[in-house]
Amino acid sequence: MNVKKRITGLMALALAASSVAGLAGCGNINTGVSYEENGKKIYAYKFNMYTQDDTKYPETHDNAFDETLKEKFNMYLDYDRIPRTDWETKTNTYFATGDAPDITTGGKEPNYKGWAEDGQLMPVADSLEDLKEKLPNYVKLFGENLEDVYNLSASADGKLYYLPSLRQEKAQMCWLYRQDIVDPILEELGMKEFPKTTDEFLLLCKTIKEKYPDKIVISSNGQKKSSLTGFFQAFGMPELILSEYSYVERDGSFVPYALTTDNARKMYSFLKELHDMGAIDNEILSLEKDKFYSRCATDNAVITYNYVYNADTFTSKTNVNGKTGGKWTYTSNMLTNDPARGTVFKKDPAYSNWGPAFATSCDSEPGKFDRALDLYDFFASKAGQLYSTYGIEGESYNLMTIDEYKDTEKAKIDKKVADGKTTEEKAAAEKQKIDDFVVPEDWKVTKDDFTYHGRSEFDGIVFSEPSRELEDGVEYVPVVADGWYHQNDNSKGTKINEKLGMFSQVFIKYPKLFYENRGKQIEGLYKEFMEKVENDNYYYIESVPMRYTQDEQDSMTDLETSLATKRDEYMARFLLGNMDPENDADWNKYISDMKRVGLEKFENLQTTVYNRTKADLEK
Amino acid sequence: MKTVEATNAATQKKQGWFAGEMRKLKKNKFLFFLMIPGLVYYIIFHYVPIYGLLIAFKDYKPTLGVFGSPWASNFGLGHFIRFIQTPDMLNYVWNTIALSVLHIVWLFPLAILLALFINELNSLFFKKLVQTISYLPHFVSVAAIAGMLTLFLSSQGTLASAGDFANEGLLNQFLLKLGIIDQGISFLDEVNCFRTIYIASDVWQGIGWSAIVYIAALSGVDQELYEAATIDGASRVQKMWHISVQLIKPTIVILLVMQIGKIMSLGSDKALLLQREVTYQKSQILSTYVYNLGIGKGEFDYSTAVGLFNSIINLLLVIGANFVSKKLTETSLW
Amino acid sequence: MVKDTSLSSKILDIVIYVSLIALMIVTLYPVIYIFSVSLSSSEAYESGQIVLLPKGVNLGAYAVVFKAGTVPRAFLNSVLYTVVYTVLALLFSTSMAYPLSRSKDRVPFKGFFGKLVVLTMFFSAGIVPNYLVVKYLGLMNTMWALILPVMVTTYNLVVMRSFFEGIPIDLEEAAFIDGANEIVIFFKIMLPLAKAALATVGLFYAVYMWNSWFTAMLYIKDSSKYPLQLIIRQIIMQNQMAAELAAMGDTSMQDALGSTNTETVKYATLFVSIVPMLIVYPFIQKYFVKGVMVGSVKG
Repeated sequence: MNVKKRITGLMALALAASSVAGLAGCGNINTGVSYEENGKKIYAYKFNMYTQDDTKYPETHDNAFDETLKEKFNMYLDYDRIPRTDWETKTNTYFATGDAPDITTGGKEPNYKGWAEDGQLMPVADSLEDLKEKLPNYVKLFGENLEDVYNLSASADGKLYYLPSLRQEKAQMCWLYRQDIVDPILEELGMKEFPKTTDEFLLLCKTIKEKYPDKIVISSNGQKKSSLTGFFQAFGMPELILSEYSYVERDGSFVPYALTTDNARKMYSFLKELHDMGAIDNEILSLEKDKFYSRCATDNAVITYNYVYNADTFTSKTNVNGKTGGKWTYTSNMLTNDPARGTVFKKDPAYSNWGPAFATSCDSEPGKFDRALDLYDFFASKAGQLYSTYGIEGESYNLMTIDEYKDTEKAKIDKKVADGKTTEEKAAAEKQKIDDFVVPEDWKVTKDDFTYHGRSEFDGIVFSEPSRELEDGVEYVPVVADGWYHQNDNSKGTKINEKLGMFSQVFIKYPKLFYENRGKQIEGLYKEFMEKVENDNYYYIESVPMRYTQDEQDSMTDLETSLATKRDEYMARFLLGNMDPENDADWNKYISDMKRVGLEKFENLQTTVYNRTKADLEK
Repeated sequence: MKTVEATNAATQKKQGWFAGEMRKLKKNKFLFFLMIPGLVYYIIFHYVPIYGLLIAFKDYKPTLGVFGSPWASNFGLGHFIRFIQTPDMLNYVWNTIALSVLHIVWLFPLAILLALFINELNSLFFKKLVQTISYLPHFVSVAAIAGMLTLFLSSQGTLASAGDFANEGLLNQFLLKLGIIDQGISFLDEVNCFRTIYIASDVWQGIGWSAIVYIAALSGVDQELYEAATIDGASRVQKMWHISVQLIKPTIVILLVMQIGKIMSLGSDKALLLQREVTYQKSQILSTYVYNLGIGKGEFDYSTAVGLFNSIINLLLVIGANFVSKKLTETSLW
Repeated sequence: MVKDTSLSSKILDIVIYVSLIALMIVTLYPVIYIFSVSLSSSEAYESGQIVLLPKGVNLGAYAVVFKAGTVPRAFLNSVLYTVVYTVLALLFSTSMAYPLSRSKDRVPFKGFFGKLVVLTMFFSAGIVPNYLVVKYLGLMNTMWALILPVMVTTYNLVVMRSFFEGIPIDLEEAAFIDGANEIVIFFKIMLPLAKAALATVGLFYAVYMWNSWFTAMLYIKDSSKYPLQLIIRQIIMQNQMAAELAAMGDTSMQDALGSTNTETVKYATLFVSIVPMLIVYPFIQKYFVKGVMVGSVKG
């Protein structure tokens, strides 16, 4: 009897389990299906949202952003938040199973091109003219670069399948060094400034190593192989040669595979020389960011090729717990092995090759796709930039006239004086600076900017009502409200920004905030570089547009993986002193191994595609 | 005529088999009933999706579906040909096999030995302590293990004469202090150290965990057997060998056979974390190659083909291993 | 048990104790290290001061972990998934493993089913078809998407089967002679005898579910349903990912670089994920004690 009971129990349990499974599945059916609310049609989208750090964002729909979206655009976004660690796997699976989200963010051009070819994506625009018509505010972002951006990011059929993002940084990477160590040595060597040629650089490193045998003269920058990018440039190659393989020389000749040329050999010899004198980081190819910080914290690194704004970060890292460490600074001097050719620096392109794309499911009902485009156009408009950067006027930020803005800045200095944090004298100088400061044009807002002017149907949308009466012809500046960055701030505006933080790749940081964060250093570096273009024979290498067919893309993928593996293997050997690039036998072994895994095939393919794309674009 | 007879016999035998099984079913409904939930599971979640293997032979286009997609080039074998033609493929295969075999050769005996040792302990407290502690590293994620290894094995190349080794990893500090080496060695950058590091950390992490199944099996051993052997004058080592090992032998053999069936499908997680450019010669295995190629790029058809290729080799290996084990130990996986 | 006091026995004892103590030290070290880092200041970690014991002790990292809100919830999710899964998986596996372990003469279609099961170890259909099955069954974004597709693991099934096979046949025969039927034998004799096997396989299943993240990553949309390991993975992978992207020229990640979690937070999360298994194991262990089975038969 007992046994029978147990069997019945077992069966009941199995039944219960399966029925719960069935029921639990129902909750998810209606995603991305449009519906009516208060007599108004609401377009719903499955929204694949790329997030930086998924653990930080709470999941809610009851925020001002979603409400306004419904009210103004009749849109409802059904978020599927995908952290960057899993983006590729998850999104690829969605597309491969025919479950593509209506809107995908965080994808890159190569991802999109494949899906576009498979007919899974809507073309955003058929031509540049079409784009201008559909997204009037978005195209304005790129200014004079618009045509280049379109040509570089369009697919082989000439259509654009995603919205490339605006890149606000114009130049970011340069040499950073420990001022307190390097400056005295430079003086001793009779150099007026940081080296400009590889020979001077060698001498400098040698001297540092002799004086400070325990220090790492050239440290990794915490990004593995990319730590070498400063040296690639010193030998006339572009910064991203590790992933882009090919480039166009200053004289116009096409180099299909850069890291096997004689020039590359010279670079390897140079690196070996640095290694032999013990100046280069043993772990330059493998160090990750956190370990690099520990280098700084232990006061060990002297020179690194890095982001310009990190000079401040590192200085503060070495000054912890009351300990005074080193002082880091940056230089816009780049190295060159051949001053006659010129000096390469990296000017970042006007756009990033990633952004949102739209699945063909957006075409399932009239208006759905247009709505989605309008939303992005809104965020490109000044009204949208203000909203996505600062949130709600009067809550998370305030609009001030330029005079009011300067007064608030001065008031902050007065407060510092009152708190005894600065002296009257310094305060006066700082106030003078504020008076002299010319507010850049792109910081300014007028009454008209506060409204979104898109296509006629959506003209005149105000996303957040200004709290003050804006006067015609008066220029205002947005200023964040106190405590805006504070974690415990629960204002609506902050919540909007938290939400939009997840879209951060897509939206444009308002120029003022960009400047206040890192833009100041970046703009400074860029200005210095551009001056050197005028005076010092500096130049930059632009990315080569390459339009592969699907077959070419497939064989490219295989070849580049095999080649990269071999290349990296030998790079490490040359760099760590296991092999000598100057020795013909060693170098030939490298070249023949590269040929064995398809170097020649790769070079032919690249050259063909390059020539064809060039001809296409010239047409 | 003869062939016809043979065919008839075969059909009869087949019918006989089916009829026989049905007779058994009538007698033993309960045993059949017990298997049903499991079978339903296997059919839904393993045999229904198996059609997906077709994409290994197709140029998979999601919009056309698995069946609608066109066949791959070369009569559907395009992906396999692409895989076989990969330069250095043999090297990757060899690296994969080497790591898998070394893993088996080291971890297997050591885990059994650990189980036998624990079985010999009299103190219940100590027994539990050893088990609990030795199984803990299993829960530390591979990424963390790799992070720690990097930390312990790293070196900035300090000379022994420097006297201060604070910048070296723990192992180097130790070796330098003892004067065993003259200069710090970055072990992860040594191509000949890769396998040792990989396997040693495998053993470190897996030994306690792998021993659990043997410990459980040993707990089933009848105490009377040991006592009888003691009376016969057997030493403890003899008892370990003749009683304990013999009793867990079927378990060992089955697990070993299953392990052999995984030789080609060694995962990429750990190798990716531990490999450095300079060790590619030995650290690039099939799965890391495919990973670098980009499972991330969404080439599901190609990765399915590679997986299928590995599965077939694995299956052949298992059939071989199972055959041997059937002959030698009368234990079979099926 | 007769006590063996010979010299060889003593040497064996020494060998055993020395090697086990060495093993304990070696395996305990990483766990202590993780714990120490999680309690230390990040400066102490960055400057490589931690060898064994924490430096600059503070609970800041744990405060961050628990304040984030996602970790405690994910922890509870993981517990729920693990418990439900282990119970169901044991039920399914036992009921299938037992018949497969019995004599061919008694079990209908044993050979056929046995092969059917083993074959699945080698041929897995891959992500796409599995995703489609889960989707068509309507399991998306539910815990059943994590549980049902892995309800029986062939490896564990085989382990279980060989345990049942190891139970002496005479017990069964004796029961038959006493007039017991299959049902009685299974519930009254076999299951009690297989406690150690149930404990082992149960542990395997529990640990499998506790450690798994991939299916959750694929099938779970709401972060309120995420298991702990998925969160941990995200926290740990961040640095690595940023370096990879930077190598591809993707500097947009720089923004995030400044905000990645410190190592101490990573280690604290890691430690939080180990704790439950630390607690569970001793409960399982009691089934591994020698002689349990014999006792139960005699009783």
